[in-house]
Amino acid sequence: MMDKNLLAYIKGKTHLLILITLFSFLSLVASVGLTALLCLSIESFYNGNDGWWYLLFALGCAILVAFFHIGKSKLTSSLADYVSKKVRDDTYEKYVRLEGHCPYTAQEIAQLSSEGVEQLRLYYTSYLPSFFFAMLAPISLFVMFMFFSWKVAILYLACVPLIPMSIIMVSKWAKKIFATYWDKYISLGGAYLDSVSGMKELLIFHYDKQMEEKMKRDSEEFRKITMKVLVMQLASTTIMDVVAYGGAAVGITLTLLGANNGEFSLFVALFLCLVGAEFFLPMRALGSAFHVAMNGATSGKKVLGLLKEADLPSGNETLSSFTNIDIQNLSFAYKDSKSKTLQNLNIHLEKGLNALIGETGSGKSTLAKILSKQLFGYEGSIKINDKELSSISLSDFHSRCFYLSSDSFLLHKSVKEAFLFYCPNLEEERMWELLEKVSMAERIKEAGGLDYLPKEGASDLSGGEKQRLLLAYYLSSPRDFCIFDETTSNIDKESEAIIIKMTEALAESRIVLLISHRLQNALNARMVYRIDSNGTIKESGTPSDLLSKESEFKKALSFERLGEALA
Amino acid sequence: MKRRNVFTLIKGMLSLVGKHVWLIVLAVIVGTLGFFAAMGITFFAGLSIANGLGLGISISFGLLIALILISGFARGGLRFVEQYLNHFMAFTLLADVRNKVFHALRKQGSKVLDDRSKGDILSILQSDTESLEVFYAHTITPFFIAIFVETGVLIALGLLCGYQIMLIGLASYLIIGFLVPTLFYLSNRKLGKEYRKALAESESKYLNHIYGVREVVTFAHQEDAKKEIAKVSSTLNAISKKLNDKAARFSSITNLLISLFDILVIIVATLLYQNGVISSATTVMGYAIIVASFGPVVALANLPGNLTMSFASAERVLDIVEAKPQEKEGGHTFVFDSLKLENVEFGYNENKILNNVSLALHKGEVIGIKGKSGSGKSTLLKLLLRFERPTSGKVLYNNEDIETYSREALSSNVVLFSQSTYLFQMSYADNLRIAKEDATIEELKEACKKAGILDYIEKTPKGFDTIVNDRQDNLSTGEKQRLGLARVFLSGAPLLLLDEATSNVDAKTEAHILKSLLEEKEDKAILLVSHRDSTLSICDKIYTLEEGFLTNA
Repeated sequence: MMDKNLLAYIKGKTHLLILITLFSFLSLVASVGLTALLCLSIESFYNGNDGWWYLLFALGCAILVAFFHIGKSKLTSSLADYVSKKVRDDTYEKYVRLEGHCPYTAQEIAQLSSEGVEQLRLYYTSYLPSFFFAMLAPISLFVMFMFFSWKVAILYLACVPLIPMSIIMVSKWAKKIFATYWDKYISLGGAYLDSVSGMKELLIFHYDKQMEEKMKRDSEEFRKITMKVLVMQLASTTIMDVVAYGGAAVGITLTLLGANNGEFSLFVALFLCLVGAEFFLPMRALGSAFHVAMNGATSGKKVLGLLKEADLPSGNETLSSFTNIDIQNLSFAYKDSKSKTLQNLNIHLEKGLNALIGETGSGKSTLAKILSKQLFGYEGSIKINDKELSSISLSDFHSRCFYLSSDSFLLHKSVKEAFLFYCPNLEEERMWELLEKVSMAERIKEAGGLDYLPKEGASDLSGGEKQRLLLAYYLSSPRDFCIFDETTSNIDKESEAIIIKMTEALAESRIVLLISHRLQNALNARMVYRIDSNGTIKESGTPSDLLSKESEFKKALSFERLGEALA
Repeated sequence: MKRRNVFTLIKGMLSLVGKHVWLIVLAVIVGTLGFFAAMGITFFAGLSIANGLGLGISISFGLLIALILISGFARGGLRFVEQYLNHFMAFTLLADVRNKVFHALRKQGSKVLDDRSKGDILSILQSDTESLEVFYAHTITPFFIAIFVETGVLIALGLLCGYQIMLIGLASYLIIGFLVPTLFYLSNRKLGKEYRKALAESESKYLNHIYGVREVVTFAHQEDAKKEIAKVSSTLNAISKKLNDKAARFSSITNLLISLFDILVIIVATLLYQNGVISSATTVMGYAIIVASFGPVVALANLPGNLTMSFASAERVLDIVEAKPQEKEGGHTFVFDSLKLENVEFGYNENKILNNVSLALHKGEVIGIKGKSGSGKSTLLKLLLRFERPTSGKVLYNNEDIETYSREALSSNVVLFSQSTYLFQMSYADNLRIAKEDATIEELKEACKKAGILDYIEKTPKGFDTIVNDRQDNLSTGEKQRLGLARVFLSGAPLLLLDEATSNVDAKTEAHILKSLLEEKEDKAILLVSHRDSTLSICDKIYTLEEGFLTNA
C-alpha cells in the first residue's frame, strides 16, 4: 500500500508529512471536543442547568478546527509545490542528460510532466498523509470511547480493519485496470496529436472522415476503460460505505440499547451516536485517495524508471585538438534490425570539405549520427586525433561538433532570441550579415525584423525558409567538425550555390562533412566518399581522381547533368 | 471568440447533455434516497433518544433499530447506483465532446495548425475535456439532490420542531449551499482561467524543449533549458498554491458555519424549550436532524474549487465546438478534364502574393512552374485545392468555378504532394492507404515501385508493417518524401500537383520517379513545381513564377 521508493524520493521533506498528519489529528481532537461540548450543553439544558459556557467553549473548538484545517492545507500546498517542481525538473534534467534517448516517446514525457505530475502530487499530499492519519484516528478515538463504554469502543475498532481489507482485495484488480487506463489515455493523446499534425494530408487524400471515425472508435474505447475504472472504484467505495455506515449503524444500535437500559446518560448516548462515524471516515478517505494514489504510483514509477535510466555512454577524455578523424572497419546495426547498416567502413576525414555521397538509404545519415555522438554502440574504431570517439566526453564533444540536417528542430524563439541561443553575445549587425548570407534577410525584415517569432512548428515558413534560417543560426557558432546532412535539399538553386560556397569557406579551417545526394555539390571537396547500399565505401578519392576514371561517381554525375540539361 | 458569462457557459454545457437527460432524473431520484438513508441513521437514533425523553411518537424501539440498520446498509447501494449513472452520462458526454472537437478541427481544414499550437489542441482534447467531468458528474445531480433533500428536511423540521428551527435550517442551507459557493466561485474564477492558460502554455513550452533537445545539447544550453522549465513549474505552482489556499479558506469557512449553525440551533431550541414552546425531546430531534443534514449542501460548497477549472476548460472546448466551419462548399461533382486560372490574384496591396496569374492545363499535359521559395508557388497550389481562395479572379475546373464543387469532388480529382510529407504513427501500409483505403498489397507495391521506395521497404525486417515512430526519425527525409509520392501514385487522382517532389532524392531515383510520372501522363494532368531544372525536364511547358508574376520560361 505504500511504495518505499516513492517515499524515498521526497526524502528531506518527510517532516511535512508528519506535520500534516499531526494537524489532521489536532483537527480531529478539536472537532470531537466540539461535538462533546454541544452534547454536554444539551444535557445541561435538559437537566435544567446552565449550559451556555459549554457553547462558548464549543465556539472556541470550532475556531480551532478551522485554524488546524488552514494550517494543514498550508503544509499540504508547500509539499505539493515541492513535489511537482521536483518531478518536473528532475524529469527534464534527466531527459536532457539522456539527450532525448529515452524509453518513452516525447508525447509520454510531456504528459508525464503535466498529468503525471498532478497525480503524483495527489499521491504525496493526499494519499500518504491520509494513510498515516487513518492508522492514528481510530486508535485515538478508541481510547476516548473507552472512557464511556468499552463495548461500543471495541465494536467500532473491530469494524475499522474491514475497510483496508476491502481495499487490498480490490487493489490487484485496480492496479491492472489503472495501468491499462493510463496507457489508453496516453495513446489516445498520441493518436489525436498524430491526426491533427497530419490534417493537411488527411484533407488532401480525403481521408479525414475515416480518421474521424477511427478517432471516434478510440475515444469510445477510452470511455469503456474509464467506465471500468469507475465501476471498480465505485465497487470499492460501496464496500467501504457499507462497512462505514453499516458499522456506524451497528455501533449506534449498541449505544441505544445501552441508553435504553439506562446505562448511558443523555450526553454519552448523543456523543457516541454522533462521533461513531469518525472511526470510519479517515479510512474511507484513504480508500478514495487510494485510487488516485494508484494513478500517482503508476506515474511515479515511470518517473523513477526514467531517473534510473543509465546515462549515455560518455568517456571522460577531452580533446586538445580536432584536426582529423580516422575511421577503421566501422560496422553498425540498429537495435531492431537484423542486417548491418554500415559494414567495415573506412574513411579518413581532414580539415577541408569532405563529401559523403551515395544512394538514398545507404546509411549516410547513420554514419553522420554516429560521428556526432547521437548513435552509440559502434564496432570498429573512430579515432579523433588518436583518441577514440567513445572515450571522449559528451559535453566536450558537443562543443566541438554540430550536426545540421533537414530534420533539425526550429526552436520556438524570435530570430534574435534564437541567434543568442546559438551564439550568446552575437551582435545584431552580425545577425543581419548571416541572414544575408542565407538570403533570408529580406524575408525577416518583411516579417518584422529580428523580433519576428515564427509560429510554432514554423508553419508560417516554407521548408526552405526554415532550413535557411537554421543554417544562419548554426553558422553563428561554427565548430571544429561541422556536419551538414542534406541541408540544401529544399533550397532553390541560387541559394544552394551560395550555401555550398559558404560551407566551402567554413571548410578552410575546419573539418566539414557534407552529405548530399547532389553530386554537383561535391565537386570542390577535398575527398569524396561514395557509400553503397550495403553500407561500405565503394569509391573514394579527390573529385578530379574520380572523374579521370570510369567511376560510378562520374557516371552518376553525368546522369545528373543530363537531367538538368534536358530541361 | 465569443465572450461568455457563467449562464451562457452553463447553457452551452447543458446543451451537450441532449438525450441523456433521463439519466440525470434517475440519478437525482436515487441520490436523494441515498442521502435520506445516510441521514436516516442519525435521524432514527435521535428519534430513539428523543422517544426515551418522551417525544410521544408511537414507534417501537425495535423498529427504530431496524430502520437504523437498514438506512446504514442501504446508503452504500443507493450511492453506487447514483454515482454510476452520473459517471455513465459524464463519460459518454466526454467521448461525444472529443468527437465533436475533432470534427470541428477537421472542418476547420488545413488551417487548424495555423491558429493553434499542437500542444494547445492536445490539451483541449485531453485534459480540458477530462475536466468537464466535474460539471457533468459532480455538479448537475448534486445541485438537484441538494434542493430535494433539504426541502424534505425543512418540511420535517417544520412539522417536528416548529417554524423557528425550520428558518434556521433554511438560512443555513442558503448560506452554505448557495452564498458560500457563489463567493468562492467569484473569487476563484480569474485564477482558474489563469491556471488553465498557464498549464497549456507550459505544455507547449515543454514540448518545445523536448523536441529541441538536440539543439539544447549541442549548444550547451542544458542549464538555461532547465532553468526555463523550472520557471514554468514555478509559475504553475504559484497559481496552484493560490488556488489551494482559497479552497482551504472556503472549506474552513464552511465548517465553521456548520458549527455555528449547530450552536445556533441549540441556543434557539433551548430558548424555546425554556419558554415552554417545545419539549426537551424536540430539542434533541432538531439538533440531530440539523447535524445530519449538511451533507448535500457541503457537496455544493466545495464544488467551485474544481468547477472553476471545469468552466475555464469548457470555454476553450466550446470555442472550438461552436466555431462555424470556415469552408463553404458547393454540391457539384466532376471528373477532371481541364484546369484554368483566370487573372488570379492573392493578397492585398504591398503584400500581394499572386499577381494576375492565368494558366491552363488539360488532361495529358505536364506543366512546370519554376520558382524560388517565397515566389508564391505554395499559395498557388493551395488555391487549386481551395485551401485558400483568390482575392480576385477565378479558378475553373472543367470550365466551371471551383466554388461550385464539393470538397469530396475536389479531393477525389486533385492530389497535392507538398514539401513536408507527414507520416502517421501507423504502419507503412496504413500510411499509404490513406490515399486509397481498400488498396491491395499489390497496389501498394506498384505505387511504391513507381516512387522508387519499394526496395527500401522490402529490405526492412517488417516490410509494409513497419510502424513509423512518433518523431519519424526512423526514416530519412528522402524516404519520407518517396512514401509521400507513393501515396500520390496510389490515389489515382487525375490531377497531380507536385511541389518539389524530388528535392531529397538522388539523380538516379529522381529519374526513376520522373519516368513513372511520364508513364501516367496519358490519362492525367501533372503540375510540377520545382526550382530544379532536372525535375522540370519532363514538362511540356515551363513557366516561371517570380514575385507573384507568372511568365513563360
